[in-house]
Amino acid sequence: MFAKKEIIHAVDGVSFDIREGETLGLVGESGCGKSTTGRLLVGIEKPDSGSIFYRGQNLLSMDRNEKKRIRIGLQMIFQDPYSSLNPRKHVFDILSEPMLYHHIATKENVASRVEKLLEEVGLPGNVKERYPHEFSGGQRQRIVIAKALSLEPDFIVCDEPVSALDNSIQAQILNLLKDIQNKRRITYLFIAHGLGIVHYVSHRVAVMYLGKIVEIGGSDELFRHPAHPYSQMLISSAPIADPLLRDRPHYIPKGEVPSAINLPHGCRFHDRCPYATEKCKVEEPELRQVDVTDEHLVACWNPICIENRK
Amino acid sequence: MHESYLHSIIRRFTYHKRGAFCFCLLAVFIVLAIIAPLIAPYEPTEISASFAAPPSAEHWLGTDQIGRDILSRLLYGMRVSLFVGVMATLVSTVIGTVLGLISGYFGGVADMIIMRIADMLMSFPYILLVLVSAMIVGPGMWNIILILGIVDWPGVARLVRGSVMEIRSSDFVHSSEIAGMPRRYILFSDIMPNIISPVLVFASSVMAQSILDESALSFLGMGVQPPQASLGNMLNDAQSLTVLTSMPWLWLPPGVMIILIVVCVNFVGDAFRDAIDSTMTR
Repeated sequence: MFAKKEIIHAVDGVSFDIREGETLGLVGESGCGKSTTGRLLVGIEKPDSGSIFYRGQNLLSMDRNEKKRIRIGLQMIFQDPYSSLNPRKHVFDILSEPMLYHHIATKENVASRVEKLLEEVGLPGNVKERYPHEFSGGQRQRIVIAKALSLEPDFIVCDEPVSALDNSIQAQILNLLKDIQNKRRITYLFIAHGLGIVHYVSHRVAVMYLGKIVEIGGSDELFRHPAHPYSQMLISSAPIADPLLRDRPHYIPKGEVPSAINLPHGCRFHDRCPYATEKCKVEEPELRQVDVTDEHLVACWNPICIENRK
Repeated sequence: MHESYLHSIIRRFTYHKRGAFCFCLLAVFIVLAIIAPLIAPYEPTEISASFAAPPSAEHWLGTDQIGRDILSRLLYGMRVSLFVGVMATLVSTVIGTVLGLISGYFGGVADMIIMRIADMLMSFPYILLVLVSAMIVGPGMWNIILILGIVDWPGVARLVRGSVMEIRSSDFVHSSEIAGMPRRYILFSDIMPNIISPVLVFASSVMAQSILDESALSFLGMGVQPPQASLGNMLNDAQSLTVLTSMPWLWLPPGVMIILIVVCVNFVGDAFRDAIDSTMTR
């Protein structure tokens, strides 16, 4: 009751764009603000300041009715398929109620719409009378995806959609998400900490550290030539299933992640960075282009240049 | 195989032998209490024989100290005690659920006010609070129901508040919010069905407690007033040592009945708690 109020800067000064039809991967270690960023976009968390533009409109300064109409176009898939379905409802109710409420389906055609959605996510249409507890994790995640699709969104935040699933099922769900994207031209923000998965599904990737985006660029380019020392460490710490690459250089960050309550001055990574200079301790770097020509941006005073990156 | 949630509860409940047995016994008591006017051999206030007569063919359980048939009074007493128990539980559960929902879902100032009132009520010695309230508003069946109902709600409210806070931050509620569903849908279609079972389990213990409290109050003369019979005020006679030692038919039937009802209610509540716990797959 009398404790001093401490403000946690979960996400601070994040700025990025997602292009229509693409998958933007968002990576970073636990607690860096990936999920918060996703939740801000779909409106279950409110930012203290800032703006979110969706097709040129600021989502945060809309009036209520407009927001309601636009918001259903932005959906989310959660990490835990066990808690993201109401255990007291059967699949039909879970899928049909939002469609009926938003007049996307009518009482007459809702049953066939539900069956179509279930088939689209690879489940037989006759499972609609079942309860969530009768499904496996992978099947539940398919139902969650069907629920997100039921409102015909054009943007979906996938918050670690496969990290609670078995490896073999992960691939199925990832491919399902890709198929859906190709068919419906849906844009994804794909949040994950598994780098292999992010590389597999993303067109572009953003790396987050302590609530800030430190690097953003094309998926292949960023994974091959990370420019930020943190990205380099993140990528080199991911195991690769290739014995020939066993001797590749490892960059292990020193120290611990600083607390998000007392953020370090200057660059947030400076006290763990092997290349840090005096400037890094004082001035915070902004995102800027690595090379003049490409869309690869990095927030670092001493980015690893191409020669060293190889 | 798929079955509805309700069916799986019923299946697990019947598997619980003790609970199922107690449920049947309780059902018998309730039926007896309801049809008491039809089956009671005498009027409960009718003086029909000599004082404190031991059990006989005319009076199966004997008569009390002013010559009223104990069996008839026992049936009517069950009627009153069960009615008080059910009504007091209903009042406290409804108040507690509504306040707990408001407190847990909206939070903020409403939550603070409701929870401080609950803390206040819970920080008084329970029996003292009930006794003093009964003295202030006067004894009587309806007053007892209201007093017990008002004194018992904080427990329900805390339980509901906790469950609501847990459920409202769960992913399926977020998912409904993202789907743009209205607040009434989230409250009554997402949250309510998920808190009903724990509330019912809790209500069973409140009911057992209410029946005991009614008996205690009536025993102390602050509850249901004579000549109306209740299990508690029938025990009143047992205050004298001679009755206690030489006329067991005066106090044994109501005493045993209170124990049976309370034990049954508790076991049924236990069985129900196990039945709703879907992690126990049987």
